[in-house]
Amino acid sequence: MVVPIYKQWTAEMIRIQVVEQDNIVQLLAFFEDFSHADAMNFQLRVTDTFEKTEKGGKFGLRLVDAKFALPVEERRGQGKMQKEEGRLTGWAGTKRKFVCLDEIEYPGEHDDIVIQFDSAEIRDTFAAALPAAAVGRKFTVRRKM
Amino acid sequence: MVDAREAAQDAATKIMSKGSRWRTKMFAKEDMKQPEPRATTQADDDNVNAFLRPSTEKAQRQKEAAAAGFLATRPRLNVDLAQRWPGAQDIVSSAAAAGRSPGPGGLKTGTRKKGLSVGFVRAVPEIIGHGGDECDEPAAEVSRRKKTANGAAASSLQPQKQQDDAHLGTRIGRSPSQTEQRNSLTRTLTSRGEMSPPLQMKLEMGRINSYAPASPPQPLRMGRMGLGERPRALARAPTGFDALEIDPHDSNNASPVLARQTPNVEPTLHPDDENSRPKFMARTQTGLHGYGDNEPSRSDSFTARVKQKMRAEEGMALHDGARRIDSKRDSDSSMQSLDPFQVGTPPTSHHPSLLAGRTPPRAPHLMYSASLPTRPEAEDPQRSRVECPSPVRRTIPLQDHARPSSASSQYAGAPTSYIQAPPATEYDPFSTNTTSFQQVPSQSDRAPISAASQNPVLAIPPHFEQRTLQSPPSPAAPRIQVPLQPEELHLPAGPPMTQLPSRPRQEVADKTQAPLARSDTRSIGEAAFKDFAERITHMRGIFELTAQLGGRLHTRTPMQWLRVATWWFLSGRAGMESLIRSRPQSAESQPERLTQAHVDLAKVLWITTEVLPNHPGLRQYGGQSPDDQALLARQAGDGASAEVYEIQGSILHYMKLLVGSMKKHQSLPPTQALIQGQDQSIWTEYPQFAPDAASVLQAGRPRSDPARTGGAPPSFGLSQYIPLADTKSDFCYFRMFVKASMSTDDPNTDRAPMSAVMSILRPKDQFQVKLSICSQNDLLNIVLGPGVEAGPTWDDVNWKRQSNQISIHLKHGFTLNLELSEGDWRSLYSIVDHTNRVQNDLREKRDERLACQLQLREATYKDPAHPGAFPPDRVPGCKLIIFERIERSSEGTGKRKLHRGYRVALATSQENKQVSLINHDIGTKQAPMNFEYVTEADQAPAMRLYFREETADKNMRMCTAHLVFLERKDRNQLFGTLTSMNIAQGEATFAQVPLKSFNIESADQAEGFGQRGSHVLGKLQWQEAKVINQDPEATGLESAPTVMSESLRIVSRHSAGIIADRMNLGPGELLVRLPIDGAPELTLLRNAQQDLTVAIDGSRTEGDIPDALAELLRTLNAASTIRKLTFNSFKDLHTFQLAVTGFEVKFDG
Repeated sequence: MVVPIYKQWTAEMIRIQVVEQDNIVQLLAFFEDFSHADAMNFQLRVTDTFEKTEKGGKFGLRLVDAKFALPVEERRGQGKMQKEEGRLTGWAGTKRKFVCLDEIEYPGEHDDIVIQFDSAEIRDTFAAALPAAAVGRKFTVRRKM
Repeated sequence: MVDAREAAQDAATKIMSKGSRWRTKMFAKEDMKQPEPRATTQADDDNVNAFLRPSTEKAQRQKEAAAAGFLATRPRLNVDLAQRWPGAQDIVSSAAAAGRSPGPGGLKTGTRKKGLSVGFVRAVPEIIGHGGDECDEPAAEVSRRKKTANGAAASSLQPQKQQDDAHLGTRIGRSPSQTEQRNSLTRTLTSRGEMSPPLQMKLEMGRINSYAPASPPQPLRMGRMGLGERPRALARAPTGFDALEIDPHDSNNASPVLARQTPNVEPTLHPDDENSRPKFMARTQTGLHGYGDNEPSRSDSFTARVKQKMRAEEGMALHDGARRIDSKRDSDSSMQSLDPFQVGTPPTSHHPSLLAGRTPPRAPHLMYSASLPTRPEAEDPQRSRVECPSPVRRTIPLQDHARPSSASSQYAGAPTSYIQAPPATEYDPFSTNTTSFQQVPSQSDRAPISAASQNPVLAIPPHFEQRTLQSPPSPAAPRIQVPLQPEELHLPAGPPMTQLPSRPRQEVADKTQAPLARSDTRSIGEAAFKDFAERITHMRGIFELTAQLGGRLHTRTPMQWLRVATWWFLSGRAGMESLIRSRPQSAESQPERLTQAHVDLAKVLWITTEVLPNHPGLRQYGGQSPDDQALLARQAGDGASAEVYEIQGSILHYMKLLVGSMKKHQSLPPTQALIQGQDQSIWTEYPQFAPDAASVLQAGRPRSDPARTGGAPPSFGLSQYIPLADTKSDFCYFRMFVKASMSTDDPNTDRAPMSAVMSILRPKDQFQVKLSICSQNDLLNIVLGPGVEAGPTWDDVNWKRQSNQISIHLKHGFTLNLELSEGDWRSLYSIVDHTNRVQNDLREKRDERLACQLQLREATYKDPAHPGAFPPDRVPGCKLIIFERIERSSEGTGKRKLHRGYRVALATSQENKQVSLINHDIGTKQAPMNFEYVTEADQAPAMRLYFREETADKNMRMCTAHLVFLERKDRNQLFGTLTSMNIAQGEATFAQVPLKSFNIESADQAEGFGQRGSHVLGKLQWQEAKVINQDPEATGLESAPTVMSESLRIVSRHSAGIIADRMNLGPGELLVRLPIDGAPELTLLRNAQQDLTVAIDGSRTEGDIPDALAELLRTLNAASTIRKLTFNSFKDLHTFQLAVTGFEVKFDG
């Protein structure tokens, strides 16, 4: 998974779940050895744009301009004091590894998120779980490129 | 022999000559009772001189000295002599005298005391009956008798004389020593005076066959007395009740050892007993006096008449004695030991008590009369006695004397006579001397008896009645001490035997009987009861007398009698219990002491066996026992009588039980002990209240038992108010005698104290106790507590710890104050407190919710720290109640209840007398619920629960509750409740999936959560996980809430138990994670948690697992933890996830 902010953050080995309750679809992502977050939970809306990508033989899906939150510690920025504050508020440490389903952190960040899968089937399955249809933009891109 | 006879005859003739004078005095003055002592003394001197001629000068001197001393000392004598117990000086002196004890022939030994006591004995001739008022009757009788010529008497008299002589001789021997103490020794004088020195001489000469043997015993006595350390013992010996010591004579005793042992113990005996002894001595002397009279009688028609009468009475007495013996033998195996001598004893036993009761009135008058009669020698002593000893003293000796003679007859007759004609009743030992006196008493006896017979009231039970019939004749004999003679006859020694020795024998026999009976009779009940009845038969007369003080016996209803009987029984039982309790365990042979408790029980016996059976208000149904009667009465539709019989029967029943245990503890009353000093009253006095106040005292009506048909409860159901023991509907824990007083707000109101009995009861369907307060009469009947209508309640009770009082608010502003002893107050308070606590514990408290209520088949509970917390045995019908502890949290997001474990309350059934309740918390303590499924021998399902509790000193103890259920499903329900496995209403199972593993570890590794916890769970064989939550359909929601759900829980089951993880989470507390490796595993992060329930079957796991689980629980409570549930497949995972989080997994990868 790649989290492009202004840099591109890439985490490998992630576990993704798409869960739905009362028409609210959330994406749960759990990371290992990802410095910026251990888990993410953000809502996927019908209005979101999902793009399937197949780049370099990899099957991926881009969440265009996804709204999400990062662990407090990271979100609060670089200041030492702020990190400390984040730790105090609790969303840090062990808790960082867990997602809370009933309360979704206010999505303070937004950017494109690209999720790459091992196979097209899995990507398609994932796409099917999304609240909106994923659009394949391959061709257009290619054309433009 | 010849010499002695001659001497005696001489004396008699002389006396006779004066007898006319005397007679005239008697008859002329109806007030005879108070002849002037001084005048008599003059005459006496003459008489004495005449009588003593043969005697040595020395004797005369002594007499004179004694007489002088007596006169001089008179005033002093009263106090000193009157004392029951000998003073220290007396004892010492007596001991000294004993040390000196002269040979059998010359008996100088007699210490003051002895002499004193002897003098009293003389008085025994109960004949005294001359009361100022009553004189008339006796006089008439006497005259009548006179008319009847008594020629034959002379021959009969002879033997008596001899006997008397013998006695005299012995006495005389002592007298010299006594003479030494002139001043204080009025008594000694008397005794001495009686004994004619000549007689002594004769005795020494050995004229009398029997006499010779007799004499040695006396010295022995003396010696024993001295040896025994207590001079008293001697005095007592005469009484015959206790004194084994005296027995030198009694060859009868099967076990001399016993006898000897007893004496030692006896000294400690009751003061009464001691008193009785001295009396005995006195009595023998009286016999001597009588002798003197007899001599004159010969020549005189009067005396002859007396003799005749005496003879007749003797015969009667003999018969009586024989019968008695027979009866005794039947009743008691011990009786076998009885010797012919003993025959006399039984009768005597009755008398003492009776006499004691009457004694006070008689003394003075009788004494005078006796003195008047003629006796030269005797007069002085008699007077001295009369005057010197306090009335009490006299009375005692008198009683004793009377008894021997009247024996059984006296028992019945004497009491009655007393009541009717108080003056007549007075028996003086001295009176025996004069025949006229004897007759008088006899008349008095007869009269009372006849009266009694006429009265419907006769309280005397059948066997007693027989005695009463016989009694009229017997009374006379006793005065002469005839009864003793019969005994003597049996003896090898023969008639010659002195009376003194015989008495001791009797006593001995009695004593031996008692111990023998103990050893022989293993069966407690009936035998003990009979024994007891035997021992206290003599009290009956007294009770009858005292009871009649409150009105005629049968004007009281049977119910009232029963109430009184119940009252005394409770009182007596309480007394006995404390007595037995306080008595040292080890002591094998305890002295028998008459206590108030014995007297109280005797009252009960008297009422139930004498008053009630003869009560005219009670219809007879011909049944043998009260129970039969009750049955018959019930059948006849006589509910009231039936109840009376029932209660009577139950009283007797408990009485037998009690007596049985008394026997076991060797606390039976001494035979024929005097009851002086004990409360002999039958009726307790109560103040009179105005009707309005009195009505207030009747409060609380036991709820009428619908099951109870038949006679509606009468005005008061006795058994409801003063139950003897547990009744059909109530348990009776204990009762206490209290002082009650009624008051109003006005401090000036009269607060008359009333004695009342307070019973602490508990209805069998309630846990709360109720209180029943009753007086001995119908005045006070208050019941308060549960199961009572229209009575005060516990709310009306004020506890005053300081003054050990409770006060009960009654209607109309009245307050009933009850004064308790401190111990009683405490026990009352504690039982009320205890039961209230039990009741409270059985209710859900503020933070509790009833989770489960089960009726168990039986249960046992063991708490090593408090073994008394629960009955040690299996308790059937226990009630098990599980309360769920909850904590209400109120947050901005709403309120919810948080589980905080369970409280297990195990209470004994209300049907169980002991109210016990145990409380244990499960789930809140940092320990797993340690349980064990058990199957009873009869396949009944059972479960064992182990509770780990911390004692005060931080030690852990394990309490065990073994619960046996009626049905299997009960057990499951209990278990389900405790583990929250049960699905309550409005709940549904959302997921039930196999569980591969379950693990818990601390969220913060740094906090050093022991890895053990996780390992523990790893060792378990996990079976399935079940998610339970509210049923959305039931609550009208679209889906089940996963947050702030009071029902959401994960119940993970393993092979040996369950872990129930409640997921009652606040917003944002549900934190999940999935492993990135794609395993079907869900990880939950939980905050520190107090609502996790762990149940483990310790028997099916390794021993350390429960402890490890406890450790885990502690961690759970303290720190946030991570649960990791591993499933077999994604499908299970997703199902589970959906159930727990409410989110459906649409993609997982």
